[in-house]
Amino acid sequence: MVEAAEIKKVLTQRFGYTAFKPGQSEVIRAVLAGQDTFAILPTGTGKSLCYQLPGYLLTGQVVVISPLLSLMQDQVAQLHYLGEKRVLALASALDPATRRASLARFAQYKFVFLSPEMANQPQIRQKLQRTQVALLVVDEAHCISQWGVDFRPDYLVLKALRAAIAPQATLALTATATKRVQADILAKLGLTPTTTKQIIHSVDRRNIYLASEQVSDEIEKKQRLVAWCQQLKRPGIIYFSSRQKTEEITALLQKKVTARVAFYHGGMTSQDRFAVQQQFMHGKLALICATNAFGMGINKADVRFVIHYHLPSSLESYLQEIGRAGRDGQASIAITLYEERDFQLQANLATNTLPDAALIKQYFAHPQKFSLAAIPEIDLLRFYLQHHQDETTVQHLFAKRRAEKLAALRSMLAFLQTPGCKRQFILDYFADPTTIIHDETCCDATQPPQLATLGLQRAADESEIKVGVASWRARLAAIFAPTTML
Amino acid sequence: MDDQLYLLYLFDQSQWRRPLALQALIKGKRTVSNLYAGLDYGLLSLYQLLPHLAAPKFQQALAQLLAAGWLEQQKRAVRLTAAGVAAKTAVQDQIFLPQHYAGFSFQHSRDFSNSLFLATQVVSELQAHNRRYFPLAVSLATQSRVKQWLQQQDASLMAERLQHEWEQLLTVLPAQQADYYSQFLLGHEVQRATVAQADQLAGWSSLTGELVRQDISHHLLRLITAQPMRFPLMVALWRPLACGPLSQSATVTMNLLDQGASLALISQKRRVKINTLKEHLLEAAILLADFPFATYLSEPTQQKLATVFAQQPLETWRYDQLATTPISFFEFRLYQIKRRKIHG
Repeated sequence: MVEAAEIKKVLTQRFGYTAFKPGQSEVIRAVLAGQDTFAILPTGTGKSLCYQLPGYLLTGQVVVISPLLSLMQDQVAQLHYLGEKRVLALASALDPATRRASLARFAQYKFVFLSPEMANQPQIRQKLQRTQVALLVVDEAHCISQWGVDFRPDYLVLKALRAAIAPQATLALTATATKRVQADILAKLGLTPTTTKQIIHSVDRRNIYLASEQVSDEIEKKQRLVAWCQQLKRPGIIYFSSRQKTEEITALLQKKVTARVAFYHGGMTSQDRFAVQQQFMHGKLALICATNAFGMGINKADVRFVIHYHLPSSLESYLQEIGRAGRDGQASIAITLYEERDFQLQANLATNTLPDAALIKQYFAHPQKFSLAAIPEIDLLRFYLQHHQDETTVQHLFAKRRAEKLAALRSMLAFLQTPGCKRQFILDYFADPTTIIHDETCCDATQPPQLATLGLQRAADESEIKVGVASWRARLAAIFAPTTML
Repeated sequence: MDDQLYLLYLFDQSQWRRPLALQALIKGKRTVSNLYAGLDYGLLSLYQLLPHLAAPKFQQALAQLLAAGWLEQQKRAVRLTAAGVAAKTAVQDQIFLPQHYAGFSFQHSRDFSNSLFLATQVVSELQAHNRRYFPLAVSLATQSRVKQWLQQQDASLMAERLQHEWEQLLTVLPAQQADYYSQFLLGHEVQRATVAQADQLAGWSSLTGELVRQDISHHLLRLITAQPMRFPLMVALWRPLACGPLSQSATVTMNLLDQGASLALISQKRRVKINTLKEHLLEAAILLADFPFATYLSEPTQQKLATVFAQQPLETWRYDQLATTPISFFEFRLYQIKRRKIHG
């Protein structure tokens, strides 16, 4: 049994914190005791610490299954930042030579991040079986559930993986899961509800005011966005579902609001994404126009607003994204701008990555014809074929997935249009028993947001910082400025 | 300035050139056919200039210039019209043309830039006694290269020396280029710019920006490798990346041939087809200054080829003219390369 004092010591010395955030300590104690744990902790509560810290107190490896490359990269960067070098991220993007070299040293890594696809590869599985795995972490565990909106089929084999590598403890982490998804996560991981410690915290983020605004067309949407960006305290993040739009609106905001705006999306090089993240973290940027690729590992405490320029695909995504605001506990605001046609746009986006009935039929009739196709729809179908599913089952499955996605989007729309308290709507959706006492700092159910009352009004005299090119000499001097050790 | 005008600089008024071969060469697709086109057009140095060039964009620009009457097409080849030549002259002051870029001399220049930026960041953070920072997002290979480099250096002098080397380099560049490039440097409490931000401040399109960056990185590499004594830290970062112009596989083939192995033996040993090995030889013939043509082209074969193509311009030679001879395509192409190199 690890002593509380020892845990505290690691928290302070390794991570530089003096206290835990709600939920963290409970989760950490459970996994250190070797207990399988399922934790739902709201966004911004430092879920990563729940496996990072035990890593230093357990003998053996911490293996983290993570759904997105960008998330994995952010988590690796976080550990590097903390001075931890024994970190490996294995994803398909890795070049063969590096992959070979990393696998040769596999046992030396303390933290191993894997995409589910990678975890299913026989060679990797063999490595994992030969290594002592102290903790198996399934991050963003809602992806495991077919009822969840972000379902990934490769997650289905995690149960077998878990059985094969026999970790001392398993930790499933998520910020959002409905009751149905919660039960499904346990079942799909082979976790027994009675012996699994379930730590479920409210998804409510009290300090984030929730607002939505319907506009008549794109012109009005842009006008409203500009107006909000001028009025609101910064920094802020504006989310889009199109890469091109992030660039277009960045140009608009540079012209109308401030020069300190940048765009961020998955089509940029990793160095450019790094640059934007760092500028944002260091307060050099007031606004970011981003796709949902931005923010996974961003731990900037003072984000004052999140605006959605396009509809999020589900309430789950919405909560994830607005959760980047107000991590310092101070008042913040989430605003969704939408027009009537946004629903259709988002519905197309949400479902066009799923193979349609005709494609499924063609694929199952002649799978060999698609052997060279490298598109996500075919990858999905290939997965099911390899796992011996027949066409009827797959047709049924995707029809269901399509319906799930549209239902998720409808819930999002219902949330935006609810005449009642928006916060209560979310809690009810996630079957969170908390009851909200609505007031003017909660949401726009009874009146539009009063920025002055909320303390979110940007001061009129805040001047814009000019952006210009520093001379190379000045830049070099800043980079190599000698400092004395304090 | 519209980006498509850059295309005018790839074409010539008298020589018909294949746009697809040029597109492939610029993207860094190394096939003998693309390399030969590069040699034939005198544009070999553009190899890998724009690895991320989007094919539709290139084709669209080409279509625009054809529609404008600045280029004309014959089958799969294109050349400049008189109007195209005039347009090229008219834009020459507004266009940035790489001066120092040499694709085959510094094949791993991008890796080098990334190593150098990361190394600079690490040294800056060390200088500030800061251990908690996010290192620049680069490949694992680059990370480990920088780590090794770091271990070889004298930590107490590193910052001062690296700063000095940077100063020596950036002083040589035109001021605007030096200011532009230095924005990608990062260190303690100094964040780097994105390419879009730097391009915007410089007033350049993303294509111009990329050409400038490529040209600068090759310019810097030329300076560093020409005077290694002045840039010991940077040379040490470059050395593991330096390689000859040949592909890895062609290098192995050429080394084995140098050691006296026959093509048949190499084929057997490496489990590579003889034809592939001949491709390696053609690649070497195009890219190496001292390729031993005489070893692979007998004197009688050369005489025969010289006779058949005596009065014919090089670009009109066709292999089927040799149908009645035992000369192979390999020999034909090798001889063509030899002649092309002699006549420049």
